[in-house]
Amino acid sequence: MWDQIEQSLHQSVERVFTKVAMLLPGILAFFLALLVFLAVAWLAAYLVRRILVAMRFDDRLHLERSALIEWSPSQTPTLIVGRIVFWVCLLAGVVVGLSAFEAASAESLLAGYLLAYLPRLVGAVLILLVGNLVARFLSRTVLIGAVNMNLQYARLLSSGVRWLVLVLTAAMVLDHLSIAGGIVDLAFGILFGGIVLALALAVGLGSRDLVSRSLEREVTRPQEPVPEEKLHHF
Amino acid sequence: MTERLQVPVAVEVQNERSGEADLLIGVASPVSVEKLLTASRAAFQSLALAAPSLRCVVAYPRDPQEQPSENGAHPEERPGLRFVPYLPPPGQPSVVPSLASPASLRAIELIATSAGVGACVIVSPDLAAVDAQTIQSLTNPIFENQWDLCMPVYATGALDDLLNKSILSPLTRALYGRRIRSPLAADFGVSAAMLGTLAEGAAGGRIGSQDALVWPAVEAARTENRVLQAHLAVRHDAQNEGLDLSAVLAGVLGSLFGEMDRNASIWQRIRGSQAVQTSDNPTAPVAASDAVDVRPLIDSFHLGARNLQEVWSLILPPITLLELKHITRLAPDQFRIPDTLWVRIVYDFALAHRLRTISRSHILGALTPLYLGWVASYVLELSATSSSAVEPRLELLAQAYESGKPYLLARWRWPDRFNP
Repeated sequence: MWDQIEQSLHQSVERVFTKVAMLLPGILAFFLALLVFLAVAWLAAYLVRRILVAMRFDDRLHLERSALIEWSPSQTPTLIVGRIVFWVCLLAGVVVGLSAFEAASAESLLAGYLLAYLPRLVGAVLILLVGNLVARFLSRTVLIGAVNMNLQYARLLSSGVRWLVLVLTAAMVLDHLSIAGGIVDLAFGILFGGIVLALALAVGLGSRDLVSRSLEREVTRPQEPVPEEKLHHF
Repeated sequence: MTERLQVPVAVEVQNERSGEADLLIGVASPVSVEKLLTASRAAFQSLALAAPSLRCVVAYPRDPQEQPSENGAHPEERPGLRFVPYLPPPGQPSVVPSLASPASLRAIELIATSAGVGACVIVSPDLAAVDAQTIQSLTNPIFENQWDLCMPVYATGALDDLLNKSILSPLTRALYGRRIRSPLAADFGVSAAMLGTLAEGAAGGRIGSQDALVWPAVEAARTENRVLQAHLAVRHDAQNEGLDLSAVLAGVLGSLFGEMDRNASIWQRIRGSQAVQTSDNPTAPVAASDAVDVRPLIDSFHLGARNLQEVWSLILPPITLLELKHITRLAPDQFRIPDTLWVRIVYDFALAHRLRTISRSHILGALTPLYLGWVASYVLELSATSSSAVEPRLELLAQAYESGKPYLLARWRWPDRFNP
């Protein structure tokens, strides 16, 4: 009895070691591919940056008031392009490394699944990043614009815009990852529809008198002369 | 390049009829042609009394739909007076429509070169400056004493021209060392050579994109041209009414900060300032208007302080934010923004604009509540003094800009250094 248990344990340990031994070349191949592509990515980014600097890429974009500068003000366009090249190369390295891992380990399930899912994952990360950037930019734009228009609820407006964009981004990310697609579509539709309906009801019922009074006032108001501005800014 | 191809339509007309002229009156913004013809004829008649041999060219932007006449002659022309319409530059108009855009200035310069004029007067489209006395004030120093640029000194009230008084004039004085009262004037006289320099600056990209503004006083300081000022009895009250304050503030300051960035190697070497010679007698100052309710201005400042802390904290150092916080707690009648604080705020915004700490449109937009706070503080301060105290008050502000320049220099050169 004891011998049988011992034998089974030995066989299990052997299988584990065999498995590890089989995986090791794959892991090694993965890291090797990653290292090579890291070097390639660094070199490619460096070369692209040098070429763009030589072409005075930043100056040209500045003259044309590129939207890229507005969206990412702390980075120069050359740096941004350099970084994009770097990460694309590195991503390619991960994909190649995974293929090498798959070939070396002869286990196609994990790598195949990951490889098939990787583009979606990358797309989702990109959507998330862009969504965050857009949410931050738009909320700040709305906040500053509303403050300059003397709107007391400037922060509320700004937060509303931010969350609207973030919710939209989250829905897009989940949809892109094919995670509970049906539920996300439904929930998003209900949420947005609900917000619009709530606003319509708030204006139509809650503020009906206010709106009608305001409209009547606009229609019946006599043309008053505009008071002369005492302060002249320019 | 496309811009430069658009302009010669006017010059073709001019070349066909090329002839010498002495003076060019240029309007750089859309203008009522009827009003221009009437004002120009009246001014020319008065000028011709003093100088019968004067030959004058009036350049103005024509309606793009209108076709130039076959022989180029304008039916309203008189001997010695010619009208040359030019095709206005395409694209968005300037953020302040009364100010010359670089493209319009290039068109006027081409006409001036073709006509071989000795001096040129750029006038605002409200044509308040198109009268004999004003034109003489702006051009006589150029004709007689070979000055390069003649900038106006307008007779303004204490509550007029506030953007210029709070930022434009004292900042350009501190940077470029010349005490010019209106560095961004709608009317100015310029020699043919200096006009060429201005237009060259516009074409060469120093003035920047097409919707940038032309800063003649800055260009004169950059190229070390001789500048004079002339007192003018001209007022431009109505022409800029209705413009959005934050948009104008962003446009004008964005352009000025851009000039700062381009000319950093020049203004970093300049210390102190020198008075600029001013011709003619000062015109009577405009009487002080009634009391102004500063409550809305202070409310705008408080609204900004409540909501824009996140943005301000990216631009201003902690000590400035703390001082602003103290100011928000002051009672309305004690509301004051000290000059030193205001100067540091302007310098920090200029630096943030240079470093692109956040989007430039956000940086410039976030300055509006602070500017309104300064206006409130200035109005409250002046309400307790007589009208004669305005000039000394503005001189103190200008000196604060000058004494704060080392702070700007330090932050400009070492922006990452610890700044509490």
